[in-house]
Amino acid sequence: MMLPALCWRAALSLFAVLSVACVARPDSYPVPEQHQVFVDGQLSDPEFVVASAKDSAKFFVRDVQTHDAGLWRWTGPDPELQFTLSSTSDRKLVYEFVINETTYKDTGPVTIQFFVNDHLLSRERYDSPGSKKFEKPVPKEWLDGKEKTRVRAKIENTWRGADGVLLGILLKRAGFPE
Amino acid sequence: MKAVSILLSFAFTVATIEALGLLLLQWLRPRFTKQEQYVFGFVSGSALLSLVVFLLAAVQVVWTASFVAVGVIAIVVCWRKRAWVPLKESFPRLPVLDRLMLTSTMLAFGAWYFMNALAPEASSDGTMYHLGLVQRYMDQHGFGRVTTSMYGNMPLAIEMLFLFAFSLGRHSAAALVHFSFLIALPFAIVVFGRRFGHPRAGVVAAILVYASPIFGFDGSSAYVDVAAACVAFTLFALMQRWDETREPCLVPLIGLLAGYAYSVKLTLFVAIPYAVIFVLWKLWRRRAEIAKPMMILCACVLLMVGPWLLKNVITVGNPFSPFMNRWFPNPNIRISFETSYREFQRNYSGLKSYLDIPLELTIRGGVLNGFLGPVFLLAPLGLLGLRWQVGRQALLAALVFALPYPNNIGTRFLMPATPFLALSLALVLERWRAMGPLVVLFHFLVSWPDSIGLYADQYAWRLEKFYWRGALRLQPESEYLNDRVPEYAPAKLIENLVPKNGRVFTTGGIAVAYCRRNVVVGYESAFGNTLFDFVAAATVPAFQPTHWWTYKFPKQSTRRVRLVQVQTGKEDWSVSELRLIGPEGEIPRGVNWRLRAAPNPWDVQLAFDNCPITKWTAAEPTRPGMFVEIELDKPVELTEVRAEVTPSWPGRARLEIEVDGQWNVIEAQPELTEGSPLKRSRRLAIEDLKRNGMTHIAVHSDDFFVADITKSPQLWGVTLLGEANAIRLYRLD
Repeated sequence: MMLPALCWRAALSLFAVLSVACVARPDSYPVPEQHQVFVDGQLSDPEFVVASAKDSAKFFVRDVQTHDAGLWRWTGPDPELQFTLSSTSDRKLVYEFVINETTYKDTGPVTIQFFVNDHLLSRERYDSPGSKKFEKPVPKEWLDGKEKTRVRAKIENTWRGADGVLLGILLKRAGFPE
Repeated sequence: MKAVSILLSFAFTVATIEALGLLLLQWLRPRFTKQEQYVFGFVSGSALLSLVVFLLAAVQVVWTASFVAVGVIAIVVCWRKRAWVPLKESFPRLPVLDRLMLTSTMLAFGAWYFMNALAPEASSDGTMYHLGLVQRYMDQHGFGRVTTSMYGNMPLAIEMLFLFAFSLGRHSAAALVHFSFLIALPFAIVVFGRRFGHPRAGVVAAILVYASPIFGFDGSSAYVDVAAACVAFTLFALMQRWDETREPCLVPLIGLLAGYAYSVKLTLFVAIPYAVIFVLWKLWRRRAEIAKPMMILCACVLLMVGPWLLKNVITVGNPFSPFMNRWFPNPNIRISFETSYREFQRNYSGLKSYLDIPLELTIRGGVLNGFLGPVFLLAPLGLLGLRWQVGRQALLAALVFALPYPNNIGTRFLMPATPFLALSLALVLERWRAMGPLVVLFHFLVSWPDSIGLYADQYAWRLEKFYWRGALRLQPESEYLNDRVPEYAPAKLIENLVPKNGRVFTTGGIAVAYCRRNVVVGYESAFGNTLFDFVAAATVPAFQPTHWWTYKFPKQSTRRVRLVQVQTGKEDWSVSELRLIGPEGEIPRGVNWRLRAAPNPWDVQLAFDNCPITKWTAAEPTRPGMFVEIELDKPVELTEVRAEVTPSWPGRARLEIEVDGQWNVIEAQPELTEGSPLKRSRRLAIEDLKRNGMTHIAVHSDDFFVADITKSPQLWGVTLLGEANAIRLYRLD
């Protein structure tokens, strides 16, 4: 009988195909074409500083400690940063920092005035220690015509250490993200 | 004129189907009545035509002329061999009341169904993928190699019939083909009732099914559920007939329809074990020969199922795609997508409790997309049918075909089991002389389209109007569709503004059945998922590699480094960039480096392309043992390895370095730093879309990035070409 014989052959053929149905997995792949996204990774972004980055010192104008290389950097009472902005429309300042628990016990709530090019952007009060993030749009006219954009964070109630040094906050990241 | 051409196309398709079926029956010579001859002929003929169209699509000869040739040959051969001549045997005439009930229901509801099927196709799934795929196969003259649509990986047996009709009469001809199954199904039930001595039960069950609102809605659109129910019932009827007569010639028909059932709708895979076990059991109980009938049965099943499995093996590397990707890993469907998709199908938003399902299925229909009709609240009465052999078999079939229902609790997914529920209920009602007609009258009145609004949910799928102007094309097709299908205008916008060789990325919302352009939908494939991830990384911080995990260790010379996952988690593990750093800084990536990853090795290069938008993803939830590995061409001195990842990354991956052929674990804990927010991320996303062949993006008003791209198209690097309804079409500059 032709039909059963054909059936067997068809079934076996299909079984053979299905049993090797997995997609072939190449052993390995070569390195792909490299995208030229940023020069030297993201560290050279002139609009944003990460305190732990090796080249972060070039953003610090004053009152930010440069000698420790941890994730955060201590500031004094009036830290000032500078940025080079490629555009001035629709920009916002982002300022991420930490209020130290030990200093907070002595200072209580911390009040900070944020200035952009000497314009008061905001005065904020922080009622607890820990990570904080300040974020606010900056008027275009404050930024126009400036080669460098300067950002100050004036800390109204600082902490005085045993050595007499005034400490403000721990800077994490700041700048003008896109 | 257009309506006439549609009707002729539909008639030609049905004639071809019937011709093939009648020829098959003439060859097999089962002892049927003339009523059975035409019903079983239609269903088995549809299986054959579907197979023929599959073969034509597989060898890339999908042309109108090919189909006309197939149809003409089938009809001429059928005519010349006199296969169309009705068989002599016939059932006794139905009683007057039964004929009256059946004829009046068929005509009254049939007019609604017919007009809706003839009207321009406006159903959601019909326009979004059933006919979208058909249009695509028509345009490319065959299956081609489509890896960007999970729907294209499903078995598409009914869509093959749609393709045949579509080539001649476009969308409405395809919908009418599905309508022909809506006509065939009640006749199959009636014929079954007459064959097994329950003519009244057959008529009542047929009407319960035929007038059911969800059957009417579905069967007059380019869906496939009514066809699935029709094939399932016909298979059942043939099995019962074979059990009664043991005609060997019925075995291949049973096999054919069991395999066909799977090919019509994936959830009907249960038809195969049902038929195989049924035949095997019956043969074994009667001590009959088993090997030969079973071989024939299985071969016929394979004949219908095999082509679809092979197509998937060749095209997407998984015979059961879009499911079972864990068993058949492939680069085309992500395991995590499959998991979430299955979860999505099991849980319809808006359903407060599973206890609401019975009322949703029978009366409300707003959440589960349609309802069977209030009379099906009586379905539990059908259990009394267990008293009779036919009732037991019907209830068994109902159980079998309802088994996949929990995987998708939409009403449509209960349709294959519904004729059996109706039959078992009708068998019980038949015991009381007037009860059947009374229930039919009640069902008729409450299922009549004008009555439904009185009790059903306002969003329940149902036929709403008698669209005779649209059906007869007295109202222009575009006007009709613009009024009813919000996705139609975007489809035409794309067709008008995107060049023929363009490719459009979208998250959805386009009636691709009316758009002859290549549209890649974000959720329909792994490729689409990847493109979606690019767009998400453009604006959503959670998708950006702002967390850098740096593994620092004393200087080591090595050729192989790998990052191994040690945690379990629900999220997919991913790595945006993996960088090797030596005393002099980052080690430039060499052309002779080799990269590996498991799972999802196919995407490993995305973690080494120096692009923060792209990333390698495991494509399945995090589990220990997943890894990304680099093999260098020569040893280098390392002091750090940095993984740039998204914030959701579980930071417990272990770094291993190969020294003297041994993998050494770096014990030091990695240090986490936060990188600066991505710059020009939108532009990068667009560049990556272009790199992957996209030329346009269609943004839906519900998309998470719509406000951003609308406000700042220059930041993205796109130009608005136009908008229609909820879609804005941009060119990638």
